[in-house]
Parts: sequence; C-alpha cells; structure tokens
Amino acid sequence: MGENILGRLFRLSFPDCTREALSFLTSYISQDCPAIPGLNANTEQVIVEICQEFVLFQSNRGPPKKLSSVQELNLLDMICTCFKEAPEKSKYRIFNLMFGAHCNGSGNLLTKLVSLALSTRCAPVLFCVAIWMQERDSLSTDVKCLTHRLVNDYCLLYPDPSNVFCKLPSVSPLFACNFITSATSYYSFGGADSLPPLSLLQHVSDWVGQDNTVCCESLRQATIHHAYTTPVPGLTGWCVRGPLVCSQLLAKAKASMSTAGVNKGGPDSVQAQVVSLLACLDKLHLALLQSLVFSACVNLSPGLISAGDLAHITHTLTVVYPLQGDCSAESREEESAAIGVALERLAQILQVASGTRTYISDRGKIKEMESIARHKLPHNRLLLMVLKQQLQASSSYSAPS
Amino acid sequence: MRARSFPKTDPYSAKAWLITAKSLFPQSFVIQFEFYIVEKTAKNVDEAARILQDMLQNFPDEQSLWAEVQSILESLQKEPQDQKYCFLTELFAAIPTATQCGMLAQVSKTISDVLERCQLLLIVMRKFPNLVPEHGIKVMEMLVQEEINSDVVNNPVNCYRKLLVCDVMPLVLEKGGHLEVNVFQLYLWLQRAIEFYVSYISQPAQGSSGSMETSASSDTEGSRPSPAKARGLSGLSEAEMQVPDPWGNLLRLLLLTGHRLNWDMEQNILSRPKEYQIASLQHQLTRAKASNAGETNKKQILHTGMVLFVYSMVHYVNHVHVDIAGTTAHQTPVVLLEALSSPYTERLSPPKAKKNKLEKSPPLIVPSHTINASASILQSFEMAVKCFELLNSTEELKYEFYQLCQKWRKETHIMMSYFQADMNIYQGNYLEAITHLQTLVGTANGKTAMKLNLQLASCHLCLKQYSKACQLVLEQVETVLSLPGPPVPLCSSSSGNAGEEEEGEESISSVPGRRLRLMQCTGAEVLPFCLQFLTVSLRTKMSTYQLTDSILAHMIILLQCDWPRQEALFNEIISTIQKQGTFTYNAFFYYVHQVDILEEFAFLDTPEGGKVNLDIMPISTKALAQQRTVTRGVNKGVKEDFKAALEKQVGRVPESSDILIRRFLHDEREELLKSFV
Repeated sequence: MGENILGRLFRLSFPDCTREALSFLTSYISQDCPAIPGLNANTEQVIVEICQEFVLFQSNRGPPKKLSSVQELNLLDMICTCFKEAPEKSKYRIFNLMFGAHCNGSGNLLTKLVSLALSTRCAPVLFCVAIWMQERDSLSTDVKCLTHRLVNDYCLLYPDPSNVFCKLPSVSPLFACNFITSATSYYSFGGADSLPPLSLLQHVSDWVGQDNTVCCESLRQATIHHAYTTPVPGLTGWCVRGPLVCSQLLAKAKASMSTAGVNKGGPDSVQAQVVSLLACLDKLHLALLQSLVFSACVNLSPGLISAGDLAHITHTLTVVYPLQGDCSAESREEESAAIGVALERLAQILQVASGTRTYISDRGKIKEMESIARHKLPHNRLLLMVLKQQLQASSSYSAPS
Repeated sequence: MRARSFPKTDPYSAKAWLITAKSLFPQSFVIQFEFYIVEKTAKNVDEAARILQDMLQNFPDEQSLWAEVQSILESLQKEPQDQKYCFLTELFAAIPTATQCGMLAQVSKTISDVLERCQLLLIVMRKFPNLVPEHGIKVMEMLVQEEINSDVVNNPVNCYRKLLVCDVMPLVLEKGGHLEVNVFQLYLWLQRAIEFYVSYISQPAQGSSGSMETSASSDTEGSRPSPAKARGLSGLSEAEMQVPDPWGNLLRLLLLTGHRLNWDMEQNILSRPKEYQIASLQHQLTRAKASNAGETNKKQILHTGMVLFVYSMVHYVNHVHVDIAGTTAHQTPVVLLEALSSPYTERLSPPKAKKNKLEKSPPLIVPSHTINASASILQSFEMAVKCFELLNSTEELKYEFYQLCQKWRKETHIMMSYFQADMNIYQGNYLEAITHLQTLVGTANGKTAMKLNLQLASCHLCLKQYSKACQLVLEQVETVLSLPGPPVPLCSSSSGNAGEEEEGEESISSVPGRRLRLMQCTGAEVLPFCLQFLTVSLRTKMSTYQLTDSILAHMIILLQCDWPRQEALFNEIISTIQKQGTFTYNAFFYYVHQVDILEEFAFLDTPEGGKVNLDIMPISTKALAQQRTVTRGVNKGVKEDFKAALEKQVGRVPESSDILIRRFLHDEREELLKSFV
C-alpha cells in the first residue's frame, strides 16, 4: 500500500497530490502510525518521503518542483486547513514531521506559513510553531531567524502598528510569549547595535500590559514540554539596560554633532526615538511588575525568573556603564539619572519577583549582585536595601539547617 | 513614600513604585490606600475594586477605609449624571456580592434613622438585584416594625408604608429568588399594600391643586385624572410620596404575590397591559370560585376579589361622583336611577314583584349619551358589584372582607357608601339604598345633594312612597330653576339630541326586564326626568279612588311638554273624563295652550264628545251660575264664553310650553303635592 500511495500521489498533479498527501499523513499519524500492510521498507521513510515530495516539494528523486506564487499560497492554505482539521493530539506530530528535522530550505516555507497563520488567525499553526520554538529553545538560530523575519515583515516594513500583531496574544498567547523571548534575545538592548525596533517594543509593551498572563504562557507549558524559556529575564534586561543605553545614544549623538557638525538624522531625530523608547519601557516595566504580581497568585512551576538571571543583568550593566569617551557634563548627569532608573527597576523587579512562587532564589547569586552593586555601580539605596533584605531572608531561612 | 511624588506626571513609575512598596511592606495600610487612590484617579474600575476588596479584608478597622465605603454608597443614591458618582457606582458593581453585602451591613449599621437606612438599602438593591435575597426581607421587616413603632399607624399612607409597598415589596417579590417567608406573611404584606393604595387613591386633596400632576394622566383608561396626591408623612418629601400608577402597581403586587403562591396564572401576565391583567384576574377569580378547594383558594378569592373590588369601585365612584376628592367640584356627577317605564310598553308595576321575577337577570343600565366613557363606567360598576357579592358570599369571606375594610380611612368608607347606595338601587334593595343615601345627603351640597336626592326620590317612588318622592323631585326642580345663568330648557324636545336619545331608549325599552338610567346631573337632563317622574307618579292614581280632577289636569299640563310623545296617556285621561262626565279645573286656561289638547276639550263639549260637563273657565261656571241668578239661558252664555275662551287660547298658542310649565311647577307646587296626600 505504501508503494501504492506513493505511486498514486505521483500520478496526481499539484493541488490534488498535496491534498491527498496531507490527508494521508493526518490519518496515518492520528492512527498512531500503524504498519502499512504490503510495505517492506521502513514505513517512516515512506512517510517522510511523502512529506518531502508533496508538501515541502524537496524531491530526492529529481529536481525540486518549482511552485508558482499562487500555487505556493494554495499549498500554505492547505497546510493551515490540515492543522485546523487534524485531531488535537496529532497536530504537533504532523508539524514536527514537516518542520521538525532541520529547516534548511523549509525555513523559508515555515516563515511564509507563520505569516499566513498570523493574518488568518490560524491558532493551531501558531500553537505548533510556538511549541516548536519552545522545544528548539527560543534562543536557537532557527528560531531567531524566524523571529527576525517576522519582525522585518510586521514591525519594520510598515511603520504603522500591525493589526495582525496587535491581536496576537488573543489568537495565540503561547506564540506571543515565545516570540517575545526570542525577540529579547535577538535584540538584546545592550548597545546601539542591538536596539529593538520601536514598533516591536510598542507591541510587546502593549501585549504584556494588556494581558498579564502572556509572560507566563511558556511556563504553563513547562509541565508538558520540559524545555522552556520565559520572556521575563529578557524583558527585565530591556527595562533595566534600556534607559542607560538610550541616554548613552543621546550623548553620542550630541557629541558627534558637536565634532562632525550636522549629521544625518541629527540629535533631534535620535532624541525623538529615545523619548518614545523610554516611554514604552516605562509602560513595559509596570506591565512586567504586574505580570509578576499576577504570577504570585497562580500555581505555576518555578522559573519565571531566577536570581541568576538578575545577576547576569546586573553584570551586563557594568559592561554598558560607564559611558566611554569624552562627554559633556550634561550627558554625564543624564547618564547618572539613567543608571539610577536602571538600578531602581532592577531592585523593584527583584523585590516583586521574590514574592512570587516562580522566582528561583540563589544566595550566591544575590551575594554576587550585592558585590557588583557595591563596588562597580553607583550607590542605589533601594537596590541595596532590597538585596540586604534578600540576604537576611535567605540566611534566616538557611540558618537552622 | 516616593510614589507620591510621581503620580500626576508619571503614572507608570508611580504604580511600579507602589507595587514594589506593597511587596516590601505588605502590612502597610497607607500604601494600599495610596494605591487605591491612584487606581481610582486613573479610573481603573477593576483594579480599584480589587484593592478595595483586599483592604476590606486585611484592614477592616481603618477609619479612612470606611469613610471611602460610605462615600461610595452615598454616590449610589445620587443622580448618575456626575462622572464621579458614575465611577463609584461602577466600582461598587465590580466588587463581589459577599463584599458588597458586608459593606452595606457595616455602613447601614451606622445610620440610626430606620427610614434612611431602608432608603439606602433600597437604592443599593435596585442597582444590584443580587443583594435582594440577602437584604430584601430584612428591609421589609424593618419597615413594618418601624411603622408599628411610630405613631402614624392609623394612617396607611405614611412614609414607611410607601417605601414598603411601592418600592421594596415589588423588588423583593420579583428579584428575591427563593424567599424564606411563610404564606401568611405574604398575605399580610399584600393586605398592607391594598390598604395603602386604597387610602392613597381616596385621600382628599390638600391645599392648592398644584399637586394635580401629570402622573395621573398616564391613567390609560382615560378616566378622570385621579388626583396624584402628595402628602408626605414625616420623612419623605412630597415628590417621594408620589405614586405614578397606583393601580398598575397594586395589580403588579397582586400578580407577583400570586406567582409566589403558585396561583394558577398566565406566565407572562406581568408584561401585559392593565386591562388585560384585570380581565385575566376576573377569569381567574371565576375559576377559583368554581374549583373552590382549600385554604389557598379562599385566600386567593379574598385577595383577588378585594383588589378587583377596590379597583372597580374606586374607578366607578370617581367617575360618577366627582366630589369625593373635593378637587373637581366643577364637574358634574353622574346619577344612577331607576328608569321610569314608558307607558307604551308596560304599566308601572310594583318593583318588588318585578324584582322577584327577574332576580336572576341583572337589570339593564341605559346611560345617557352625554356621558363620556359610559361603557367603562358600567363595566367598573358591574365588576364592583360582582366582586362585592362574591366577597359577601360566605360568612368567612364576609368576615375577612370587613376586617380589611375596617382599616380604611374615612374617605374610602364614604366612597364605599356611595357605591353601596348605587349597588342597592341596582339590586332593587331600596330600603338599604335609602339608609346609605340619607347618611350621605346630610353632608352633601350642590349637585351632589341633587344627585343623592334624585336617587332618594327614585327609591321612594319604587317603594310607592309617592308623596315623599314627588316632594323631593319638586325640590330639585326648584333648585334647578333657581340656578343662576341661562334658563335650562325644560322639555327635552327643546334640547338638540333629545330625539335621538328617545329613539335609543325606545329600542332598548323593547327588551323586557328592569332598567336603570345613568345620567348626568345637569339641569338639561334632570328636568325632563323630573317631569316624567311627576307624570308617572300622578298616573299611579289613575285607577284608584284617590283620582281627582286636578290630578288629571296636572297630568294634562305636564303632557304638553314633549307633546305628543305621551298622547296615549292623554287619550286615557280623556276617556276617563268622558266616563266621569264632568271635569272641573279652573286654572285650565292658565296652563293649557296645546292646540291639540284644546281641540280635544272643545270636542268633549260636543254631543259627539260625550257632552261632558266642563268647568274649566277661570271663574267657575257654578259660581257664574249663582252670579247670574236663575235666568234661563244662562248656560248658553256660558257656552259662548267657553268657546270664546278656547278660541282666544288657540290664538295665543305660540307661547312656549317651557315657560308655561315652569310657571305651573312654581305656582302649583302645593296643589301637586296635595295629590299625593
């Protein structure tokens, strides 16, 4: 039968062969991969071949079939429909069969599929992609690559807020969550070269602000899919490093103008961008705290953020700070205000996170943070107070043992 | 705290600080309250509500917290136009029911005045029906108790009762879900409601007629607007004591109670119009009466009957007798009277005998055309009579009915008396009717007195007490004639629509059975009735030994009005005279001008006419004969005088019979009365 099916599919022309192939794959996987009678060869291989030949069109038997744009759209639509109709338990297995192995070549198709799924609000596809991102680790190159393309398509291509993106958390909260995680690692906000695009930052701060559960989505899946990353450390990095990086950007722009005269863009456009970025960060910071408060009220496994994450962020601050090169006194002043905001935010997040169930504390990391705060960063009363309290709490907790 | 330096300029940072502060010092009320204020200022309903609830749970002893709760509850009582109050109301709405109850309980404890406390609870329950099961019964009991405690108990129209009956009770019955009350309690409340509404509707107007408000005009039956009264009794302002649609409310309460008691009722009857509800209740009453089983059934009959009775009774009395409330004296009362039988169809037979004969079929009431909405009046009257009969049909019902009536105010009892008088007339119980009428007539004046006197006369006539009856009627004639303004036409023929009215009467009079008339107490309607009344009374003497020539003459004079309507009677009189062979009435030429009648008398004088010995000259022929001593041929001269007088009279004809009869009634009153001695 396996040969039969391959033979039959080869005899069909484009839309029909793919439709047949998808329905065969769905029913095969849904029946827990039964042995195909009359087939001596490795069944799995046949299945993979069907997928390669008729869904991904990466033929091993000849030159890859080239689909026209319209045909490609038709193909993507058929895939979306297939995911909508497939039984719940089989969806991810089908997805894994198509895109799981490695995404050389199929990565392009995946991006197009995600785009279509976003615009048609096809939640099953987005859910599978989200799981895929989570299993791949949101920081892996495949995932980063997808994220980069999506940001390009939805945040950079059109400056206006994308309607598709605005509603994303309500269509697929898990996808939004893992997308944020991936985006925060792609755009680390560690300097001028890793600034997140403003519209991305706007979208993210809106998502988190409107729905405090978005950040917890990946953690929620942690019981099913062991691997997970959460957006909280990345977002904390944005909120903490953001003000400092922005103030330095502004200082550099001013300095370059004073030395090189009128520059392209000029400090005014930089200033406008910085103001918008900072406003978004203000909002995002509050949303992040609210998400943490929310997570305190629900039962989740620990891991939204850890002392280690915070210690790492503290460390990155020392890399960014202080400003290199010669700057005006005014810039210095602005920078010290910015580092003050950064440290305060760090302290606030540490304080609020420590009250939640999902915070992973680590006395060693706290000590490390304290030492950095004392010796390498400007004095901040709140941060030191919070750190001291954390140390006291953990020592009083660990003292009896 | 640093957060306070932020709020206005940077709400995000301020809130971030507050979150941190709350996390650092979870036991600090100040921080949470500050947090609440921030959310409130930012108009975040859900957040503010959540914090408020947290605070109520964690810091139940904070003064400022309760001050805030108080202001929230106060805002619920305000008009919703103000943005601030609006927000506070939404805030309250966002709080879970249990906490809402707690807030209410706590705050209402601090209000010492029961009325205020109940008003607060009422307003909150109205806005949040989910609180009704918890507080509804409590508020009702509080109001009942407070009414007993206060000294307004003997007046059902008081502020406690108003709140209980008009506001709380409908809400509780409708929205209260399962109520932990016994049946007895429900009946008691319903009875209080009936008491209130009956008294409310029948209470006299006070002071200026400024309280005559539009609310009454919403009365859909197009009835005379029942004055919407506003007599606040301590505690509530006039406006608050207003009840826009009292009957609608009472019916609604009855229906709601009925639903609670599982009376057999239509499901969606509450949304139907009032008329439909009444009709349905009537049917229900008939059904309940027929099934006649159990205590519930009796109670249902009692209460439904009671409500329908007071509804129809008040409706009827308000229509026919406008003076009770005292506000609309310029309107004319409507009077219900025994119809005077037309001589063509039947002789006036003793009403008692007739009553026995026709006991089963109710008498027919013929309204005069000038009465607006007469159908609705009659409908109310018949319903009231039916309900009254039903409520008096068993000893038990009768007892309970009178128990309920006991608590009515004086005005209601007077209404009831008016109704009972009319009902007794309708039922033919003239003696009882007279008892009621005589009590009422003592205090009445103007047209009301006239109405009552006419009714009394009608009753006396039916009891064959002609002397008394005619005396009353003549008094009324006198009253009408002495009224200022343009003279009222005496004979109905002189008023425009009389002809058609008579026609209508003719067609109805062909139906056998007792008939009653419903007419307006205006001179134009009363006077013709009075004339007819006198004629009918005089006619009763026709076949008796009491018949005198002056009775015959009086009838002839009265017949001139609306001549020749009663020609049959006239012919009867003429044949009586022919039989007698003599006729003496010296005032004849003063009062008889009708050509036909004069001709008839000329004919009587001839041999063909029976050669009746007529003595109708102003100066008696006998006296004349004595004057002219014993000269032969005297009679011839007399004859010539008589002919001359007749011719002269015919020549004068155009004089209005109206003026003539008016003069007759005035001058010959004593003579007329003598007929009945």
